[in-house]
Amino acid sequence: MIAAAQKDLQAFGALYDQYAPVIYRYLLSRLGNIDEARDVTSQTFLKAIEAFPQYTHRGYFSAWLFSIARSKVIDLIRHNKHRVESFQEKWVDPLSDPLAHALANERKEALLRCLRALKPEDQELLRLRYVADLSYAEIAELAKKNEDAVKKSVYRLLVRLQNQLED
Amino acid sequence: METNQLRNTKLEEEIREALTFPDEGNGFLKNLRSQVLAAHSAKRPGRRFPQVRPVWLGGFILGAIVLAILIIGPQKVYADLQFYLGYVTGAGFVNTENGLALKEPVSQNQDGRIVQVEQLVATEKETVLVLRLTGYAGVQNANLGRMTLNLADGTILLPGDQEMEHTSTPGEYVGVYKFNPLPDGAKNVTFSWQQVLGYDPSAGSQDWEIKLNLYPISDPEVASSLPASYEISHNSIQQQGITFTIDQVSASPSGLAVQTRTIFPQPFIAVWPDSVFLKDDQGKEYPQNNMIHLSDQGQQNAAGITGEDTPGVKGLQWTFDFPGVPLDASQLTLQVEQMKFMAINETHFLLDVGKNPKVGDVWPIAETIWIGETPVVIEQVRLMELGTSGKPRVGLALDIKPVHPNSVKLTQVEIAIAGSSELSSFDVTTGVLTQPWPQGKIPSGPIFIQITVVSGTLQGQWQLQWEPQHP
Repeated sequence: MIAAAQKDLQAFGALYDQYAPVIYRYLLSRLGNIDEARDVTSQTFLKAIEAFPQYTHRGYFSAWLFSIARSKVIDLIRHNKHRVESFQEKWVDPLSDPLAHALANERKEALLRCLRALKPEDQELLRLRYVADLSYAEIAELAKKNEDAVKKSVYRLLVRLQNQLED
Repeated sequence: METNQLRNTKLEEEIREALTFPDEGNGFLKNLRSQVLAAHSAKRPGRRFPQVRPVWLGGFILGAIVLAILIIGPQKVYADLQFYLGYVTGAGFVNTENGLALKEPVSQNQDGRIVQVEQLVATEKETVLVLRLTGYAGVQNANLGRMTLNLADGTILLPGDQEMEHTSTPGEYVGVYKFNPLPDGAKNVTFSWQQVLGYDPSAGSQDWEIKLNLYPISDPEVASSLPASYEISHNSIQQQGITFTIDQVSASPSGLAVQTRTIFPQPFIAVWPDSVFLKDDQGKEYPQNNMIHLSDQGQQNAAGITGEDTPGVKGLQWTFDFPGVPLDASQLTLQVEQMKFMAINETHFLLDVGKNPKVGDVWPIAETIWIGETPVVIEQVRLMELGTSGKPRVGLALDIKPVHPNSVKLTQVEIAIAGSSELSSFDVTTGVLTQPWPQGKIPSGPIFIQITVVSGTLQGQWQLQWEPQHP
């Protein structure tokens, strides 16, 4: 798909269809602001199609695309020093049982507190894994780390969060 | 009771929910698509250097072989291709059917430093340069400085990619570089390198110019120096749940390369051969050449290698290089006596350390856990001082022993302890990586302990034999 798209940039559309929702979802999670997420998504893909003819396909295309997205986020943050990255505050709650509803909300609040307390790089790791749905190999290439090290880091975070929620 | 795996899945879903904002943005993405594609009109890209990873090269070549066989006829093509298709140490398996190559390595010596062009293989698709540096103190980054292939007509080729693979041991470096194909008729090339001698600008630089004469691969002298690869029958053996396979063997007068694969199930996350020996039927043992193949270290799904759907099973590919095998060797044996492994383990327990735990306290556990097919016993937990530098720390160490010590040895057990925010500390004496506490801040009462990753070695006799084919 990538080779075809590099021969004919119109075929880039198929790559866009595959990755744009993921990039947007990731940026929305990262920035917590719809307008900013849309702005950075636009910048990401406009930059990607501009740089695409020079792209060297080695490893994961997603890693290349996400590296562009992340650098655009950094540009935005540098430009607006007062902005604060945020978490979602509201859930769509499917539970009907009031007690279960209350308990579930309590757990969700606790999880939010735990996530906020994580270091930014740990939050980012969880975001790449669970919002962008990247594989460990993709995250490893993006972060320039060993895949096993990435797995261990995610696993440790899960253990830590689980322990904190159970305390 | 919920298993750990179920709890993790539920937690993962909760994390996903917590981090995801509820805006699909379908309309926005649709509009953006039109803008992005309209931003640049379709244009024919410039001629690009084909980028192929070594491990994919084999698959591509295989497809080319099948097509060639169908067109030309099996026997003649197979004999010809087998002779030329081989593993070039450092470059991987290279299709050398039509092209140019060196008859022998060419080197230059300056101030005790030696730059040797091990091989330059020029085909229609690409030019592959294998470079060896010796006499350098420590690892040299060969990306420092400008490296080119210069032709008599003034054409200069730059590497189309950074180094593909390299191996470096103190004082020695091997790098592989790919360039664009040479122009038609070009047979004399000069390797030119303005090498910077270190990261510090004051280290100075050194200029290298090595003239290279290339000959057709069909030239007997050239062909005899190039490797030929073959597959072996009975190429797989399984022990302790680990399958060890030889995928290809490549032989030349100067070297033998054996491409192998380990396939392992969950909970292993990596298993790779250690203590590898090659012997022939005369009793001679061949030492490994010290080459590292970075492309080998990427973990691949077994499905990607075997073509079969094997969820939960992974594979790792490793290539071993040996010196050339003499013509009178009629049988070769590749023996692996030990496999190193890393495995995820989700064993957890609650340990009540009491009100005032102190260094030296011991709590018996006597519980058996499994790492794949291998049972190990957690004998006890101890509170000990940790040998870390800086402020004094203490931590919990597990005395954990395999039930069958002749078949498995543990080298590191990583544990996570609730309530400790310190970085993990590895204690060499116990092989336990634990999260410590500062002296005077040891928690009391119940402590949740989770074993996360176990590393060690599996002992065995993964042994495969074959009749060598000589080029």
